[in-house]
Amino acid sequence: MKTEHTGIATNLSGDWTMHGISQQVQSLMAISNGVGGVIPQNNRLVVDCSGIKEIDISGLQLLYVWVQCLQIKGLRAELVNLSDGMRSTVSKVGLHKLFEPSQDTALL
Amino acid sequence: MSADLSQFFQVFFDESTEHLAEMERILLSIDPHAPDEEELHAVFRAAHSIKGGAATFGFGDMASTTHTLESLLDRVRHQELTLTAEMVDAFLETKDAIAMLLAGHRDNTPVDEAVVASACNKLRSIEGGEHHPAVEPVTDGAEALSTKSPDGTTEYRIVFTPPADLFKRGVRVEPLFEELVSLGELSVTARVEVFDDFNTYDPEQCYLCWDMTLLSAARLEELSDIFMFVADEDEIEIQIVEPASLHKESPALPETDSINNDNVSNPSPESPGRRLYDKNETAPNAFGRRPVDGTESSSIRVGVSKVDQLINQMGELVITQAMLAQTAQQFDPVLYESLHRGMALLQRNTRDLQESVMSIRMMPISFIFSRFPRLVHDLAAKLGKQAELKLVGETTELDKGLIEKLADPLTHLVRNSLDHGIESPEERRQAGKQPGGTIILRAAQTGGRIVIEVIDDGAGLNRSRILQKALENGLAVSDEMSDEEVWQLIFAPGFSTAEKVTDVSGRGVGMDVVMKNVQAMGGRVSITSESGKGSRVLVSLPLTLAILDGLSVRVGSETFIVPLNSIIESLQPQPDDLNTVSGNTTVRVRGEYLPLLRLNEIYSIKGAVAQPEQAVVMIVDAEGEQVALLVDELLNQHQVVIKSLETNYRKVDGTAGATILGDGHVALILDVGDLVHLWRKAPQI
Amino acid sequence: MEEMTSTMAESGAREYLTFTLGKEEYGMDILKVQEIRGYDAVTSIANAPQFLKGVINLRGVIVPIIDMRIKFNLGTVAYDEFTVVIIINVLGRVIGMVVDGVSDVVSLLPDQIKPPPEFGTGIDTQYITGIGTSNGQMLILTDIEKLMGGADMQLVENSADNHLDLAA
Repeated sequence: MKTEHTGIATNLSGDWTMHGISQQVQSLMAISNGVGGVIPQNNRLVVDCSGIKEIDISGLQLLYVWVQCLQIKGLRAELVNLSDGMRSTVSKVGLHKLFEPSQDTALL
Repeated sequence: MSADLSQFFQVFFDESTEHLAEMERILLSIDPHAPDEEELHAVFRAAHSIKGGAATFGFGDMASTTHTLESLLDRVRHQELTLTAEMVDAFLETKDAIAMLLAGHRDNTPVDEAVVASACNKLRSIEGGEHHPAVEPVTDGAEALSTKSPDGTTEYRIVFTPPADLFKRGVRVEPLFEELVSLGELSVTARVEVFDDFNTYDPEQCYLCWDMTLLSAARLEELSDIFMFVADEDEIEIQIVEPASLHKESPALPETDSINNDNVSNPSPESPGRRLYDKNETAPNAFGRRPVDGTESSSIRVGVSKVDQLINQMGELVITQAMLAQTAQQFDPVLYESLHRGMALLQRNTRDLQESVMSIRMMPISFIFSRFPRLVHDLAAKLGKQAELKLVGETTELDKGLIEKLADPLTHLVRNSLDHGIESPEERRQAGKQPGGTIILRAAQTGGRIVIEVIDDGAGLNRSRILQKALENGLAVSDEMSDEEVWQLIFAPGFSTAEKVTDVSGRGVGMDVVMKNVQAMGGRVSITSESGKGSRVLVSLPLTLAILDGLSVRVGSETFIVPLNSIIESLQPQPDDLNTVSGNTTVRVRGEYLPLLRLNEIYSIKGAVAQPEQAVVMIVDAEGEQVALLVDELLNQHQVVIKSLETNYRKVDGTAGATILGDGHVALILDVGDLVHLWRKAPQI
Repeated sequence: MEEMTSTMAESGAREYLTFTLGKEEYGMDILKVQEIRGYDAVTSIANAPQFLKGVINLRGVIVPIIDMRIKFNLGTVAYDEFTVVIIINVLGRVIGMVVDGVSDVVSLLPDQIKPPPEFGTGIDTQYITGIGTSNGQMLILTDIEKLMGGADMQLVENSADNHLDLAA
């Protein structure tokens, strides 16, 4: 279910499996490099994942590393609106702890 | 079980059974107030061995139960704990529980968790320690992760470190986790390498590794098989977490708050445990093969009728296969080579299947034997006698149904031996015997039958007293009766020569009920006794569903089957070796004269070969005695299915059922022991 | 047909298989009949009574065959392609009985059955439940289960047999 979030900074979509992640990297890189017109609010970056059609371990790894890198820069990225499929994959491969929710957005 | 480990399993089962028996023996004989040091060490060692083996082979339930017992025994033998009679009882109860768990693993018999829990709780209260939930049956699965349940699940620690090119290789790991989840309780924690610069990140490389805990009843091999196609040996590490250590430390799963973690691409194993699967050791072997044996040591309850149906159908299959084999013989082996090859393969497959099916209902007789040491111990004490019980052939297997029905008659026979057979210590001393008597319970499988003996070195049967009593009871007796016939008298209803009726036995209802029960099972009882020396009661039972190896023989126009294990040899006698005295013929074989049983006369068959020197003589073993059988011709060796005659007809003397030959005809299967009895009843033959 | 039998059951009619022994027709409870076969491949059992011809293999089960004609001294004892064996289920067993021939299945109401006579029948009167008439034919209705259970049949072992050993 798509919940209303204030200030969704960016939407992720498409194929986040091994086949498609090289494309996704580009857009992520742009964001983390501070280009591409994505403006964080209060150092908070809300990332809407509902558009992600398919994601596998490589995609999750990508997302995770990206979130981690952002954090090092002082930005907190929040992944919201995960599809059920994505949620279950996260849980299955033991990455749920890495995507541990922050206070106000529930990832799981 | 994979071939590698299974051979050790059996050794472990056998040795543990012995250790358990040893433990019981010592515990029964130990004096709580003045325990023998050596015996304490011996019990401890026995428990220690069982524990070690159980842990090695992943029988967590046995290991943890034995461990508790072992630590108590250790304290006792180091005099840190004083032994009491209650403790000995608790130890015995625990030993029973361990035995049950062992049987569960070995035979898939059901395990009563309550019994195990009760024993463990008793031990705990002796320890004075707190209840460790680990040893009780786990009801809430969520807690099971860090505890040990006595139901045969093992805790595994799995560390998976895939290579960097995992993604490039196109390997999907998600199904892996799904499979692990299906095997039990899985807890997965992933770790990712830390990056500080996103620009250095190569999305096509794998920077993940996994640390998992799995609580499962699955065997190690199954786990390693799951990773077979995904990971090389370098990348997977599976450890069994030793249950004992759980009491000492908290669950050692490293927390992975990986955002705060430093470089953790090579996690180190922290929880103790035996590394059973390591690089270059037991790698997953046969391609795509899963272990044949079931994952559970638990059992499935199956209705007895279903099992019987399975057994009957198996019997039919054997007969059909035999018929096919017979028909196939007509085909030229060279021209129809593949047919013969197929038939040989069919024979092998049928035989394997038959053995497996038969084993379903077969249980070792130790199931009933095991109650007797305690019984003898208690009863001897009660009667003021000393007696030692020896058990031989406990692993002899027989049909479950027979085991249940045998318990009562056997109990009565053992009680009889103690009550009437074994004399009091003074009497024995006066007779020049050891003050303590010996009772031997022996079981063996011979010639398609199960033979159980109760042997004592007591006073033996009193012939004159029995004859006297028989006369009093109005039975037709005479002094000319052979000993064997006199002993048979005690099977008459209402018969008892006991001067006073003890509540143990001798109420006079005993022996005839024993006889009736045994006959109801299709068996028979016989007694041998020697005054002053002792007695032997022999119970002979048929193996239900026996697929017997037999030799078919021809007498006249009839075919009989002789069980292969009864046959010692066959020969054509020389006229010189034959000797006939008052209608009885004997055959000389290697210096001994054996009686010749003419089957054609016993079974009134016309047209048989009359002259032994023109026929065939088979030397057979009949319950320890050797006799010679006269037949016309030896035919073939077969595997035959014993079909019951009693089902629709009745027992035919001298036989152990019938079988259906390849051509559809019925042939009688000879029971050599019974044949001898039959022959003796009409000695003119 | 089913309707008929249910109304008959309500009215107390029972069905009987009729068979011939010698000159007479007998009837037995159809429910006890398992099947009807020819006489074939009987393995004789030594020292069994004369009327017990032996045993056969009935689809994997060993079944004893009793020749009723010998037992009750009726009819001509011949074994050919016309010889009939009725396989019955009685006393929890499967037993085969050799008869001269099998006729019909007959349905009889209680009022078609008369009480058994004192004497004059080939089979011992204690096994006869009544005399039925059907289509002018007299049927000697037999309690086949009781008959097979009788001591002289030597099918059922009673404890009396055990003591035979002692007397020897």
